[in-house]
Amino acid sequence: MRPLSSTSLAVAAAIRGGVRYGFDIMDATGLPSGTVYPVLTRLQRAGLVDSRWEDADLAHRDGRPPRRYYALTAEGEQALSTSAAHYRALAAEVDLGTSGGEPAES
Amino acid sequence: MVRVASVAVPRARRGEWLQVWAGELWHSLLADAEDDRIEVGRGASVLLRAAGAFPHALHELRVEGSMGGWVEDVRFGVRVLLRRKGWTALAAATLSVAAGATTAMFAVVDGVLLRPLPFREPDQLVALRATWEGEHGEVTRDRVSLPAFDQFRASQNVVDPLAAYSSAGLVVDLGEGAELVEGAYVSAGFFETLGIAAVLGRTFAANEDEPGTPLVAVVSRRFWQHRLGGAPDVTTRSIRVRGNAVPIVGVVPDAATLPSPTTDVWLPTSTFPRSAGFHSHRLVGRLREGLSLDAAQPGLAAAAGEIPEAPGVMGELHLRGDPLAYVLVGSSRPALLALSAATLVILAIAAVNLGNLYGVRTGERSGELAVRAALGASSTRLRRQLALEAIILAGISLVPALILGDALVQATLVLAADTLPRSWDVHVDPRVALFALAVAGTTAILAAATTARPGNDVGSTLRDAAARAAGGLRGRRVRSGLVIFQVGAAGLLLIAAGLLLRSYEGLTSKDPGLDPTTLAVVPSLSGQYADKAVRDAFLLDLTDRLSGLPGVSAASFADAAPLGGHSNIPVEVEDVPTRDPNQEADRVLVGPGYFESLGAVLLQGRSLGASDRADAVQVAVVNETFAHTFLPGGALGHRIRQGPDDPEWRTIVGVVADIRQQGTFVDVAPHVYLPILQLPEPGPVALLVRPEPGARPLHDAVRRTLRQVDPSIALSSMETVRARFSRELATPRLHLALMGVFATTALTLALVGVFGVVSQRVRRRRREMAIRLTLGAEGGALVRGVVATGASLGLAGVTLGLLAAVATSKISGRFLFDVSPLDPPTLAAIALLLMATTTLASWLPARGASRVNPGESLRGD
Repeated sequence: MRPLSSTSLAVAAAIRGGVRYGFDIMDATGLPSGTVYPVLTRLQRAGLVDSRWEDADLAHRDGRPPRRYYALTAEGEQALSTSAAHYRALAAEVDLGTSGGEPAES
Repeated sequence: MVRVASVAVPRARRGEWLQVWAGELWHSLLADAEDDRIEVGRGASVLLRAAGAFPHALHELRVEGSMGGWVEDVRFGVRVLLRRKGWTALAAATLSVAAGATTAMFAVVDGVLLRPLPFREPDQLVALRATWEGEHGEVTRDRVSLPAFDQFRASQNVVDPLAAYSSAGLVVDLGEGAELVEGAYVSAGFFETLGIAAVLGRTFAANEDEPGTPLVAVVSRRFWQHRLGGAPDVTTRSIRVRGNAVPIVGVVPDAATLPSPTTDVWLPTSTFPRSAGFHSHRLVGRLREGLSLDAAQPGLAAAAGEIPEAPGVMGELHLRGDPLAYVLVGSSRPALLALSAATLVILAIAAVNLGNLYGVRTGERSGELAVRAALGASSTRLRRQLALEAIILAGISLVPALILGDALVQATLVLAADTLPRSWDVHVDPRVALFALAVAGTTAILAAATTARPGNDVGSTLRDAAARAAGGLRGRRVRSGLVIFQVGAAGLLLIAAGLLLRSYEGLTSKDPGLDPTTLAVVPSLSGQYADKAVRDAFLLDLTDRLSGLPGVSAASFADAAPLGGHSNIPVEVEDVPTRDPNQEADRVLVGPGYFESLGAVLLQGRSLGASDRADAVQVAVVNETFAHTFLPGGALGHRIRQGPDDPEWRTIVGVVADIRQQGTFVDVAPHVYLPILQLPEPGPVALLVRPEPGARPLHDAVRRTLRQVDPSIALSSMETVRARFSRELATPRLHLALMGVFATTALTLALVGVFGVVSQRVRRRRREMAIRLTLGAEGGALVRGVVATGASLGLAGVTLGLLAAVATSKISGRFLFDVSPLDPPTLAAIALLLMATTTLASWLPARGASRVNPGESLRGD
């Protein structure tokens, strides 16, 4: 399975961390709406993320239309941990490469 | 803003998408507000976030509708087409044939009629047509004399600038001996009027057409490249024209297609004879800014009226303007449009066949469509997929269509010889290819659309398809109607082709009255032969040598070859009171042995020979028509003269059978043949050399002899009489060939349609037939029943075709010679042909039906 892209990873991680609503995910990841929403769509189509409408009564009481909230599916959790591990390993390699050994001849 | 962006989202998802955004935006605006006011800063950041709706919407569109979706659909379409190779091949073949024919005609129409002429603002250019109204009636020429041109140009300003041009064969010597080059004598402002600038050097200066100014030349780019070596210093060189060295001042681009696209050398009119009676030049000019052609006509007419009558000529001069494009190509427009209409008929017939082919697949199609619909594909998506598949089919047909189309175009150009105007602009190029793709694509999509109409849910889709496959009564009626249309349309084209055939046969069967193998040679005689005595001696010597050549039966000369022009003279018959004071005849001046070298038939008396010299009795020979018209009681011995100004009375010594001097289309006029030797005028000359039966072609021998006598003489043309007459008939021949090809194609497609419909019926009734066979029905009766159905369709189609032929008879009549557009034998023959072929096309599937093993087909259920 291919690892998630970095933006997808950020979004998925945010959702896992309990951030459920679209604009809140933007706040949490610092990514713009033009990026976050397409990523959400992609994750949903891949079956990694589920979405649902919040309780309508709650919303109407506040005088606003209901929001859609997102949650990771089982596959989504799996993908998240696999991808995270992948990136950690990648980071480790990069560290070794730059911190160890003599600097290259210029 | 979000609403605006929502337009991009596919309709099915739009509602939900809008709600998601609405939810977030509202929450964002209200959630942290202390009261009902919305802070500016917060509002701005929300606005920014909302902008992201656009890329989101596009993303939705891409994912659901497009890129991913498009590629998938294309791949799917290709797979579907590959699965049914036979179907695809047949469908593509049908499309290719129809699109090929349509494309070919478009290429021709585009090149000849649609493309603007290669001049600056060509719509503003007009050609002037001169008509003289006199006592002799109206004579229309396209040319005026140079003095008339000068006066006309000065006395009006509705057409300004105005230029004159006249084509001329120029004898040029480029160091390889004398040769004839296509040239023209033009007024100084000619190139400016057309808007053509020199690519090297310059065009003529304003005074260079005045008599007395030294001659200069402008050459075409073609000529410069191929004959002058493309040297960059060409403007410092000269060419020898008619023995004189003429400096070249400029080179013009290939767009200079007046007087003809093959004109190579232009000279100014400074040395051209300026005689008021010599109508030599055509006029072309540009309408004054803002003036329409209609508004300009009165001005033209007024200016024409001021031109004094030319001496001895034809009456009051009228000038009218016509758009240049029309004058150059207008005569071919009706035929080209009629032929294009024929290709559209072919396209319609093919479209019906294609629709039927799609119908055949509807059965298996419906299952697939239902499944896709169930899996969530919107009907838009399904429709789009079908359209894409149709476009792929069109793409497959494109290359064969272009190949066919190009072949047809090349054949057309060959058949047309030089008679198709602007034929150099006719070719299959990207513009034409695009047209072909559009035609094929539209036809395919229309055909596909008529059958596949996926409903929005599985149930309706299956229902629709099943109903169609079962072919209910309405479907059957429609299909029958379409087949009847196909047969009728093919019938219309066949009738047109048949009529054209009769017309053409009529033309070719007209007796020319002379030997078609006779060679007509037109030499270009230079100045040294201007003296009549010199000229006569030269011609007599030449024809002596020519008749002495092996293989030559006779040789002579005249002032015009057959189809080489004619002169009119007023004629007076002695002692016969003239009913019509303006009676006239055609006149040909001939040398000794003229009739023998043409193989003309002498009916009475004798022909003209060497003894008919200037000092002998003045004689004449007339043709049959003359004798019948003026001297029905017998022509021999009577005397005639060329109107009251002729000093001599000439005795008729012979009557010859009619010779078609003016070709096939014109009725033979009364002709008078006078010996050249007995008349003072020098005039043009044509040589006539008649080969012995079975002799080898004489072209080389003639050329050699000519060079022996005078190597400075170039040949304007050398071809047999047969070739001349054939060229004259090139246009009707072309129409016949094209219509023949189209009619045959239409018939083939229509028969395929009949075959298909009858096969389908047989297939559907297979079970019923099997039962009937088992119950003892005779196989033959079954077959007859099926054939009868097909034949009745054919009959209805034939009737429709005949009605259509009657309805279009006025149009078709314009292209026919001596044949009625409702010519009964032709109509009857085509009707029979159609009935026979449609019956055959119905018999084939019927035969298959009777061979059905009843047990098998029953068991198969």
